[in-house]
Amino acid sequence: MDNGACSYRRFLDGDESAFDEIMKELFDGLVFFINGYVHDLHAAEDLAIDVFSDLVVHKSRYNFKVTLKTYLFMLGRSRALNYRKHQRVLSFTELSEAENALCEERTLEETVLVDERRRAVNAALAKLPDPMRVAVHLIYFEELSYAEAAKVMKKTRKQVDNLLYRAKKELRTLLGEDGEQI
Amino acid sequence: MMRSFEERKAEIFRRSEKRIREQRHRRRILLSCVPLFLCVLLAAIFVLPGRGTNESADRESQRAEAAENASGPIASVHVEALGQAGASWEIGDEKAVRALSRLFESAQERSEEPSFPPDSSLAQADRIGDFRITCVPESGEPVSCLLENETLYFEGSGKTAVLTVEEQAELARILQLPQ
Repeated sequence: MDNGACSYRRFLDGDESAFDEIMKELFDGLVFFINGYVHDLHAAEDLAIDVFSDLVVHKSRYNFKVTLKTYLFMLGRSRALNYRKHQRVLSFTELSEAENALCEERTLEETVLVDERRRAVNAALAKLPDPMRVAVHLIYFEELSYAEAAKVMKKTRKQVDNLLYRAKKELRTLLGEDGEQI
Repeated sequence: MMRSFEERKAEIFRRSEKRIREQRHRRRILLSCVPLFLCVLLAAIFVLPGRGTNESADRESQRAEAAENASGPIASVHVEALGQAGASWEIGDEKAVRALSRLFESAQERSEEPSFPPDSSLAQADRIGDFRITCVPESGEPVSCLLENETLYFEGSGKTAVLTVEEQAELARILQLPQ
């Protein structure tokens, strides 16, 4: 599995349908990942669109040395952190809108995390600090390798390993018996 | 409400096109600035120092012109050996006249008021070894000076200049004097 690199090569050669394949494969996961940082589904979707438009505008920036998924998640993380840095003003949302957003978030979660057990882990993940949450998300949900996750998080492999170890320990406490299976 | 797949795709391409347009616009502005910058750079390199050189050249030519207007170029030189009756000769060789003119100019530049002006009451016999050199310009008054050993006395301005050893040797060569 090349995580979209092959499709992107085809897109660069002029095959428009290859872009659809990349979107179908990676867009929802990226939105879900960015949402972990920004906690606003619409903003996450907006940022994911920006990330994908980067692929179209700067065609030569992706050098095929990492998987396209890793590259997109790196861009996504960078854009999400940037968004968070500039998002200083708290916005108020109407209750009905909040319910809608919650509902959409659940739908997205169900799309990305098909497995029931994964959803339970995801719920527990919300209680963990950001770095631990992101490490678990990338390795268990997105199935990236340790090296790829380290690249996305701009950390060393060892640091990711340590984060995962501590995250697992926390999750075992939070999930009880279910956590033992992680 | 979250966007559908087609809406997302359309939005991605809409934003991409917008960004590409902005990029092209920025590049065009940058490209239009490059020739302007080059023009300014070339002007700074070639025109400004050139202007400085022209100014100094102008000044030089004006000075030469002024010097020429004062007495005009020397046409011939008349040399009279004082103390020896009838001993005089003419130097008409263009090269020698030019060299003499240069020598006089440099001597004139550093000439000053004499502390002991030459004694004009001396008898001809006492002036053996002295020379009167008269420069005759193409137009204007002839200028004459007195050569006493190594001192040149300009009769018009009343100033004197002491010649260096090299100048003395050159003057002797030009005037065809025995060294």
